[in-house]
Amino acid sequence: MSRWSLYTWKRDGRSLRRALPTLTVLAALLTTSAGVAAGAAEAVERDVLGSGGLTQIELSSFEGEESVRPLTTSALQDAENAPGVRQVVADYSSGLYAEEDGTYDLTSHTLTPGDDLPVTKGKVPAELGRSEVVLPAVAQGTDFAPLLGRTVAFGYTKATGAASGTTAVIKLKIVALYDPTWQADGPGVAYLSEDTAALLAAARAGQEPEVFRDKEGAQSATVVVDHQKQVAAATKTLQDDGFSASPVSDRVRNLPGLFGAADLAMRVGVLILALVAIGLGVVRAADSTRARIGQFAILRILGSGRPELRRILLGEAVLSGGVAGVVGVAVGTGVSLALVSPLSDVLGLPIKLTDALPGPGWVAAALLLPALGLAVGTLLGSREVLRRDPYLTARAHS
Amino acid sequence: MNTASPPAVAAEGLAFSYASGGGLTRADLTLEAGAMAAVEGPSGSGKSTLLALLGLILSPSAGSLHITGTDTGALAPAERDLLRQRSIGIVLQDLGLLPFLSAWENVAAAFGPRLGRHRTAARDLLGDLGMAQLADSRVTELSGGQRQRIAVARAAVKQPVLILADEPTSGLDPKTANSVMNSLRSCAERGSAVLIVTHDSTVAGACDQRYVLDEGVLSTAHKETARKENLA
Repeated sequence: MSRWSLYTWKRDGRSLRRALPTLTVLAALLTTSAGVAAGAAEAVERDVLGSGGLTQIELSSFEGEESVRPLTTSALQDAENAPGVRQVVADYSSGLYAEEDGTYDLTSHTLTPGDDLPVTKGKVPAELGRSEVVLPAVAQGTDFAPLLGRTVAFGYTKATGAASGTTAVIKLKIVALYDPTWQADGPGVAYLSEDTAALLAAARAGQEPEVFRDKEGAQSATVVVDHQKQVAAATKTLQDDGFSASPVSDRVRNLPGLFGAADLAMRVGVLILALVAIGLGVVRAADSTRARIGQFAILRILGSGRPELRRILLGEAVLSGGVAGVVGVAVGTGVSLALVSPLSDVLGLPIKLTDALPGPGWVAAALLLPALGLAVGTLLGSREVLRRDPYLTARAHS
Repeated sequence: MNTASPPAVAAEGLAFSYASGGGLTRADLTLEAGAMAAVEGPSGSGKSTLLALLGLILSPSAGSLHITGTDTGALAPAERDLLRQRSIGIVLQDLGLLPFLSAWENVAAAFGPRLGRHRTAARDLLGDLGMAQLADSRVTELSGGQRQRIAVARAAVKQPVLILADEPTSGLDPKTANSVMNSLRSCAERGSAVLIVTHDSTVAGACDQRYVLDEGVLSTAHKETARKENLA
């Protein structure tokens, strides 16, 4: 970088300073995306891991996938016998609907150790009883608050043939209500004990619960080990036994879906930032050098060599990219922090301000890429124009 | 023992040819410190090429060039740039000043980009040339004559060994042209060798030595210099 760059960048409107606004916006967008994604991921991770996720392993049953062991009673018993395993809770999915008041139709699941429900009213016991249920505070227009603590009759489907069934009734005490924006298993879910959830699932399949659990098995199961250190070994044992097993902590840290897409989008964003910076450098450096060829000729006669002229342009590129990076990161971080509250509302999870700070890798990319890209582009763009001595070019045009 | 100083400029058989044709066929030139010389010649005769060679911007394809005894042909490009910055001042009629600097900053720019260090020298020289009131002006606010005199000041401020001036009075009214010539003359009197490229015979006549450049060949026009005429 030449000291002349400080003058030309600051005072000459034809310098590479013109690339500043575009690069600032891109750096800010990248930083904001990184901050928002980090905030969301942190909140979800904390939510899942906070409920003991660090000591949990998830077993999945893929329907029709013969290589994966079904989660039948005997299989779950095997899992429970694996070294270090303290508890196995199977999740059976079915449905509950209104029998008396209201028109709701709720999905039912087993309340597993992985479900960290944000309870708003009532209390979830250490182990949910067979005749107890936890509901969302509001679902499908029905407010369950007045029913809290009461035993309510719910309807469920009992299959009587291949395409026929009747309604059966089960009475359950509503022991707690949770924030309905918490939708880890989808909207409007009723959480039951494992036995009750299995009863409903079996009824819908037209089977006795024991038969259903022995033959069909659970959709998924949560395995709890005694200590975090045992997770890896237990997972390996379960996988060797044919289970589809993965530590909850890994699953959370490699959050699929939305967070995976956000991560991909940011990687694309980094690529765009780099390419735009290089492209701007190529175009702007060539244009700027042509427009200022007379100035460069004067600098030549004042003692600057062509390498110094390149250093002037490089200096302008580094200053422009550097300022764009710093301002972009500052603005992007500010926007990301400002979005914490609305993002928290959307996810239904508390997000700390520190959660929404973009990761160091993304910050480094947003800080450095504008300057690096613009510098590379400037070297490419100015090469052709500076191939001939600016003094001779200017004299030829004068 | 010979203790005589080497000439400010000594060029022998200097030549340069462009890939597209043209250039300089041969130039032999010696300028002592304090000399004021003019080179006349029609357009396309190689005047700009000669200036670029003497200013160490172009490297000759043949011949030798010594600046105060230093063989410039033996220098690396960076050393040539440094020698130009330290020892040569160049005044260009049409490539004047850096528009993003003020008048005094343009003068101080002769020393390099650390302008603040040379503020006093630049302002003092502008004062000596009667332009103190213009020191802080933006160069875009100055007239053509004022800009040219500042360009001369920039070339002279470091008291270089050699000042090269390309059509320094072109387009100026007689009074301003005279002022510019007086500035160049004072540079010569302070020890710089001054070489002026010009179409104007009046300007050439005010110099001590006159050369003619025709079809790339430099030759002496008048051996008797104006100075000697004045002395007589």
